[in-house]
Amino acid sequence: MPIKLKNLTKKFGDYTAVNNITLSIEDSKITVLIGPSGCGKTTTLKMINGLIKRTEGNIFFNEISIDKINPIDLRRRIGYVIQEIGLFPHMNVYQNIAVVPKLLGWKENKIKNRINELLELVNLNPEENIFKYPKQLSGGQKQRVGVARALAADPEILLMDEPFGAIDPINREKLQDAFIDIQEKIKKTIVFVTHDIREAIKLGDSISVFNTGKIEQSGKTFEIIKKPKNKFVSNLIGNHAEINTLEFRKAENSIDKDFSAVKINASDTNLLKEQKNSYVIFLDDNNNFLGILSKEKISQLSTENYLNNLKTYFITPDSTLLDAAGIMLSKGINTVPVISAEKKVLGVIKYETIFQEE
Amino acid sequence: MNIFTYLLENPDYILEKTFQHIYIFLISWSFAVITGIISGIFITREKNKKIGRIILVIIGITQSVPSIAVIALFFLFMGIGFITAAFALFLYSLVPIVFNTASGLISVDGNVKEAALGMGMTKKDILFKIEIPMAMPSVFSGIRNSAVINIATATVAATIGAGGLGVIIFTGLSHFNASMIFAGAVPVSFLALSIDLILGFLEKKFTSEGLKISEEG
Repeated sequence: MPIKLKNLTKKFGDYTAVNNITLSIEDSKITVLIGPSGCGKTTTLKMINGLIKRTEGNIFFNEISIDKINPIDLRRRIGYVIQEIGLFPHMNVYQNIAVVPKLLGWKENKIKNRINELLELVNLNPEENIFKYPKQLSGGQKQRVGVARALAADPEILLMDEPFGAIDPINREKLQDAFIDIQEKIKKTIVFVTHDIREAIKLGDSISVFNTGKIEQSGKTFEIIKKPKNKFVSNLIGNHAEINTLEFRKAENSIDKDFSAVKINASDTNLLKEQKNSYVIFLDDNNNFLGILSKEKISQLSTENYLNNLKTYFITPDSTLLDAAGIMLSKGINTVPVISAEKKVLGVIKYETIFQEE
Repeated sequence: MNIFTYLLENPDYILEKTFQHIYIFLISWSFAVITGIISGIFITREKNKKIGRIILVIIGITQSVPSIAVIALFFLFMGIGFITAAFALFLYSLVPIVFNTASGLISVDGNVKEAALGMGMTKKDILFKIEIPMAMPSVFSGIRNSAVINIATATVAATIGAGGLGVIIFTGLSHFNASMIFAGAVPVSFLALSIDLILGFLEKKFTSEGLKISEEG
């Protein structure tokens, strides 16, 4: 469900925590609100589920004003995850996840099935964990239960307030990866608050940069990185943001299908010269990947020597663009083939693709 | 004459006084449990916070007044008899219950309450499904404390004519009869211990496992 914030303002006495912000939150995407502490990002999040009443402006869900929706009903339709997770210590995993379904009056059987489904989604073994209490879980497991609980009644919207903030860096990365996989399956509209730019770039489809109650810049993650609007935003994203973000971009999304491939047994000098790309991929008789050669190199070799000089570097579709760039820089080339597990050529990653404007 | 003589020779009389004792305890204490828990909840509600703080201070002070003084004070205003004794006992055992209920509710983690509110629980849901279950250990320690104090203090109630095992103890005292004092004191401690045992069992039953285990790792 898309959310619109219109001229939203929140004042606590004389202090203006959120100052006239307007923001469209895209359906089925992760929108990250980032900024230093006290910038108004959490206040904004809490205004969305009505935990904090706005002073001015309005919030729309599917074009319907928040004023026309009962706050209790609204919250039951919005999943909410907070930093300290807020799992109920006196309830076991099952009871914690069952809270909202029970409030909504679901039948016990339906709840049971849903909980098993959710625990599998967040990668926790149901049999092992369902009767454990929060104190018996590790930080990462608690967080997974927190996410499962927020998803329990299949809400359209998920609000997450620094959910991975209290987790050690190694487990945080793992949880973020798991979270990306989960979002690929569930496609919820997610508003995610963080102060960690790395996390923002990794998870966010869009980013809104907050500072002193205002939005400095808001847009697609790559727009923000390519064109930071002002000093504040460029300081926040750091000097090497473009390089750093390559780590979070999957090769499969940047594959270039325009490549030259020939069967090594069918290759002769003329055929190779006709290939318009600067690199030629060689295949065996079953169309499986053998290696790659630059046209320049080809012109220096005789046909029978191709096989011995083939460069066999490649990446898999789930590699990142950072892997591709690494190979390019270390081998001094501008094209890396992307090869499937079955050894078939899916395409290539080109230098221009990595660094082009999006 | 040994110390058990009175106990063995007057079982019927002791039993009668024991029942009187239980009677005055049950009436004053059960009213205290109900009133105490309700007031503990009342003074911790958001809108009553200011008055709640004042009440807690007053309660803290009354806890330091000796039981005999409380009973003596009520005797001055209400005269002799069962009602005076029961009322004084009620008030005296109210204190630990209100205090523990309130502090148990106050100590519920704000994050947990916010999560509950954010998930769409009503204030009532939060009270009954989150706050009270989480405050259970504290509420129970108040109830147990209050029961033991009540049973012990009820002996003093005999001085203002409310009956109970105190009668035997005070008669024994005035006659320098150790065996008689003993015959009154033993059932009192026996009562206090058994009530505490029963309440301990109930506490176990009504407190979630999740609150008892210690943090892992």
